[in-house]
Amino acid sequence: MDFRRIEWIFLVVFIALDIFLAVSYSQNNNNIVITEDPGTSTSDTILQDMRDDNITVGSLSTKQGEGYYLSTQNEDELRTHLDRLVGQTYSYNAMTHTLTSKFTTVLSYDQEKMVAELKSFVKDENNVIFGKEYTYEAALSDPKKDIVFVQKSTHGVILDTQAELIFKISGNNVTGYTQTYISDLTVLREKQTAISAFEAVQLLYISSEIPQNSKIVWYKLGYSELIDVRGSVIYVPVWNIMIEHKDTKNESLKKVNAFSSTVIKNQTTSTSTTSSSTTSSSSSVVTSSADSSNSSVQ
Amino acid sequence: MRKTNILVRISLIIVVLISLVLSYLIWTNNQRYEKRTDTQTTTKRDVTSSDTNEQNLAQVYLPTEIISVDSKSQHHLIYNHKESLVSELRDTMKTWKIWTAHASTSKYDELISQSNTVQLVNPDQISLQLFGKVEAQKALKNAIRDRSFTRVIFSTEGDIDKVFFVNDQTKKIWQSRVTDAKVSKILSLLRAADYSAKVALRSVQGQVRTFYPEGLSLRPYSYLITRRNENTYISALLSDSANSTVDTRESGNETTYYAGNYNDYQLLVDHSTDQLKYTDNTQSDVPASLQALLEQSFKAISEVDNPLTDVRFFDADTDNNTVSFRSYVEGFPIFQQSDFGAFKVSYTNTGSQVDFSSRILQVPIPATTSRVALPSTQSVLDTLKNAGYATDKIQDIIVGYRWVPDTESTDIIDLKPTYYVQIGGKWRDYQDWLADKSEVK
Repeated sequence: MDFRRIEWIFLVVFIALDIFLAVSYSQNNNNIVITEDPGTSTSDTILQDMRDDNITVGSLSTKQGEGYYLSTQNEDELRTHLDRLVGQTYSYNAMTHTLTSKFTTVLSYDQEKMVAELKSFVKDENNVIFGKEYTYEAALSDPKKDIVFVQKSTHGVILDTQAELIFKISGNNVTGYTQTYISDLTVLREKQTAISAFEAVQLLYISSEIPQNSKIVWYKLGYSELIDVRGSVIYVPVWNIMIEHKDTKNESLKKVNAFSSTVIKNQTTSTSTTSSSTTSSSSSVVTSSADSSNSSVQ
Repeated sequence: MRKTNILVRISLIIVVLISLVLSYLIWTNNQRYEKRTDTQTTTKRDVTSSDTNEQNLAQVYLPTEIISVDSKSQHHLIYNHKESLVSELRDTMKTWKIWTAHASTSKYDELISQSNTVQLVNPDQISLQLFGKVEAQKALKNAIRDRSFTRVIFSTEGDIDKVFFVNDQTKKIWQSRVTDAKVSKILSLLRAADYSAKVALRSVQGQVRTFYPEGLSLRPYSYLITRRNENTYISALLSDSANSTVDTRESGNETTYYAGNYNDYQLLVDHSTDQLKYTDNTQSDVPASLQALLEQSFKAISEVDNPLTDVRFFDADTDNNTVSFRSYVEGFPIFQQSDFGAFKVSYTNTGSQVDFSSRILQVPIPATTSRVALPSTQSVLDTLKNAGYATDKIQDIIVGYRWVPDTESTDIIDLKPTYYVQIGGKWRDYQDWLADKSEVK
């Protein structure tokens, strides 16, 4: 009789104990989840701060990119192929590694067809040396002044003054072009991850590189020169981000090293002169930002 | 009457058993410690998002060697200079479903030489729960008991249906069932490898090591390095402690910075070697498990805020609660960056200590010299033996890169491949051991 009562009491006590233990165990596990939150909220606060500063960002990809450390020792490959050119007078500057060419008879096209005509023009080896390796870049071009092609490598697009093909435009005429070319790119290290466009813009903002009341017009990942060392030029993936002030319409190109997440400061002014397209037509801007949404340098 | 009697007794036994199981779970659950360190670090981190932190954690604890065993049981160390083979394999394994691990009946010697297998090798033992965490495998991450292992082995013959976790030190083996794994994806990754060297697994002091019976030829590398300013470390480690004043004491080449209420936080800077030592005396909990030790030391090194791209886990000592990390190039560790590698974290009940170097690999640059041929591992051991080093004194041998400052520019270093040998707890280039025989006994 007594023993049965004791059994009942034990049963009740142990059920209570089990409930207590189960609750404390599950609480212990939950704590881990809570602690992971504060980190992610910081990027939200940055976005909120940017909105407060009236900075229009648009939709930025948060997908991380990939790329290589590349190097070359050869920036004068163009010089050895000058004899291929037909119908133009040219000069080569070995200091700047730049080929400057003037057409003996000026090319004239309709404004609308200009880009399409030039795209097929560059494909001929006798018109432009290694022309097939260049691709039209709307974001850097101003249809009234110059049309810019950039060099493609097997590892991705190169966005650098040493890998450009710029046609000079006056009205409906193309008078000539300047060209730079890099060859013999070698991969220095295995593929590395690069920061996303979103991270690059955040970094610019934190480093006070984006003024208030401005907007991001386009962004693009491409290889740029990082450093010239021991006779080799090293290229890394760089986020090129064009920022426009909403009132003054002034544009400035910002560069972020996508490997080391650092803002590249000294080059900002020099590159923006080549792309000094102060009021580029809005249509070309839209298409380029659509292109640039894929963040991998392929 | 009888029936309720039996029912009460059975349910009593059941609830007693449940309470025992729950008590066991709570007692073995060490997450309470982690929780405390978590909150400490999150207050310190501002900009770095937890995403990048998780990625860095996964990267730091990546395996460093991939060994492929062919149909004739010949082992090959493989590498891909264009793609990162290790992280591609890791990403592929993330898509698998790996079930709970249990003790395996396989024999160690047979398993490590089994034909048509792939082995992912860690330099030292890591925790299976941590592996489950970085590989997004819930069953492993939430396992009741943690296991330590050094090698992951799975067969590429037919479908991948199981994976082995092997501990080279204890020779213990655990295995897990695998579903959703595609062998074709693994095979294509292995085929894409552009470097392959014949290797053999041989025992050094009871621990299996990778030997190169035919020697190997490796590319030297060069790097542009930076020396980070000590102020960046002061602001990363000392500035946000409760008391914001930082005291300074100088002696010779060394400067010590103190912060905190009772000078709990100290940062010692040695200007002659670019080595720093950060001591946190408030941290008096010694990590209770291998997993806690690995995760806490990762947190400690990420607080230093040096870039972790090339940093990999190198060695864990659970007896002394010490973990070391080295910079790696193409799968091989770098030595002589400092006295200890890239980072060394140690825990005692009086505080935690992080040793680190302010010399950081920045940008790879083309090397000026051509490939270096290294002799076979056995011949290196034989040379050391002939020079007077007893075989049982040689604790470990590994192929690594030697950090050599450039003669012309202080910002450039060359990384020269060579063998590193551990004797008396010290890692040195085998040629240095041969030149300086003061340790020969």
